[in-house]
This record gives sequence, structure tokens and C-alpha cells, in this order.
Amino acid sequence: MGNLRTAPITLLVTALAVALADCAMAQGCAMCKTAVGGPGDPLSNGINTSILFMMAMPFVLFGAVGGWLTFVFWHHRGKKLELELLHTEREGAR
Amino acid sequence: MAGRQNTAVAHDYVEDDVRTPLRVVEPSEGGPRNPPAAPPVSNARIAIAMFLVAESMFFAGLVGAYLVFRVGSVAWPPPGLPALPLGVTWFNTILLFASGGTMVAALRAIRRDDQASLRRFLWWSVALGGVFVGVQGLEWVRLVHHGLTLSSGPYGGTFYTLIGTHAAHVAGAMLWILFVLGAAARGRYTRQQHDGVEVCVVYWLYVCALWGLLFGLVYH
Repeated sequence: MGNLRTAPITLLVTALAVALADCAMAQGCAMCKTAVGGPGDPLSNGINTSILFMMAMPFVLFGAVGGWLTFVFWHHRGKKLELELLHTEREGAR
Repeated sequence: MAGRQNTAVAHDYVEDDVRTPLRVVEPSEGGPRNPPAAPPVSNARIAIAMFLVAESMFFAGLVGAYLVFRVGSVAWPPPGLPALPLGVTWFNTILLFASGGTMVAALRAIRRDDQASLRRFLWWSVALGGVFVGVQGLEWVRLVHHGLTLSSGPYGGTFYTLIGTHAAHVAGAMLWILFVLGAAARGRYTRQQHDGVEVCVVYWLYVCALWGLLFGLVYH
């Protein structure tokens, strides 16, 4: 009950925090900022490529495992339904 | 002595019990109408999938570091350092992929309950994996003589770390195959129950596929 009473205040504070937040440009850490020259710098290209690769990997892996599990369970469910249908037909024939 | 006799008797009893063929109890004989089905994915398969995801993230970290240096360098290999040997590594790659083929053949053998072929193909895989690691070691010795060491900048550092970690994985997988071979020699695997062989084959194929990616990335 207490949660319901404080919910509007929490929502209001969150909305204000989001609305009043100052815009900030994307920033790297101090080390990266000094080491990397800019868009044309080879090191900057290297870091960007690496970031993209590392960012994609979890999606690729979880997508692959999730897809495999979905396929296996979907295939298994189809087989189970087929067996149940066969069983019902046999029962009907008896 | 009496204890050993008792153990032998108990062992015979268990063996006989295990040898009794399993039979489905029909509902008319008091069996369940809908017997519980086996899970669609075995625990062993789930475990190896999780392990391979973890391994992939580990290698992704190493490849990410390699990409920073490789893409971030103006010249690769840096001046004064030797290029990596392509010819002998191609030969080595073919050997490793052939070992993947023998592992698949081993899995097919146990699926038709051919124990002798299972052991023979596992031995072939260990031998091919051993030749792969051996040739790679010899190449490393040559590269060190040509001045490429772990401390020769990012080029040497990333090469030895990435390829060395893979070689360590191949060596670990070979130990695993030897363990499976021991279990196969004791007749542990059957046509119905061979999860141990299956996960080992999956891991070996993963190591082979990973080598394909690393070879394309690092040696070209």
C-alpha cells in the first residue's frame, strides 16, 4: 500500500530528472580522449572497430543459443503433438 | 578376502541387473498412460552450450584487443618484423579440419554402436591435434629466431597471446579426448548413451571453427 502512495512522487522525480538533465556529448575516459586524435586517426578507427565487435558478440551468441533452443523445443513440441494424435487415433480404433 | 568376494558377487549382481533389457510397461499392465518424455535438450548439451558461450566471450575480448592494434596501426606487420608463415599454417589448418572430420566419424561410429571405430577415430583425432600443436610450436621457434617475440610490440604480443591461447585450448581438448578414449576402452558408451562423446566432439569442432576465424584474422 505504501508503494502505491509513493509511486506518483517517484514518477514525478524521475520525469523531472530526465527532463531537466543537461545535454552532454558522448565522452570517453580521460585516457582515450588524450590518446585518440579524432575521426581520421587510425587508433580511433581501431578502437571503434573493436567496440563494434565487442558490442555485437553478446547479441550474436545469445541469438545463436536462443535460436537453437527455440528450434529444438519447437521441433520437440511438434513431435509430441504428433505422438499424442497417434495415441488418440489408436485409442479410437480400439 | 571375504570382502573382495562379496564385492565381486555384488558387482555381478549389478552387472546382471544392468544387462536386463529395458521394457516399456503398457497401460494395460499398470504402466502410466502418458509416461514422462525425455527432455528435448539434455543437461550435457545445455552445459556445453553455456561453456562455449563463455569461451566465445573470452576469445572476443582477445580479438577485440587485437583489432585495436591491427586496425589502429599504419603498417602491419610493423617494419623490421617478419610476416607470419602462410604455407605451413595452411597445411596445419587442413590437418586440424581433418581432425574435425575424424571426430564426426567417431560420433557416427558410436551412434551405430561400433566401439572399435570409435576408439580408432578418437586416436586419429588426438594424433592430428598433436601434429597441429607440434608444427605450431616449431613455427614459433622459427619466428623467435627471426626476432618476433612476445615483447616485440603489439604485433608479437597479440600474436602469441591469441594463437597461444588457442593452442592451449587444442592441447586441453586433446586431454579431454584421451579421457573419453579411456572411458570408451572401458565400454562406457553405447548407442543409446554417449553424451560424453557428443560434448567432446562439439568442443573439438568449436576449437576447429575458432581456428578458422583466427587464421583468417591473424595470418592474412
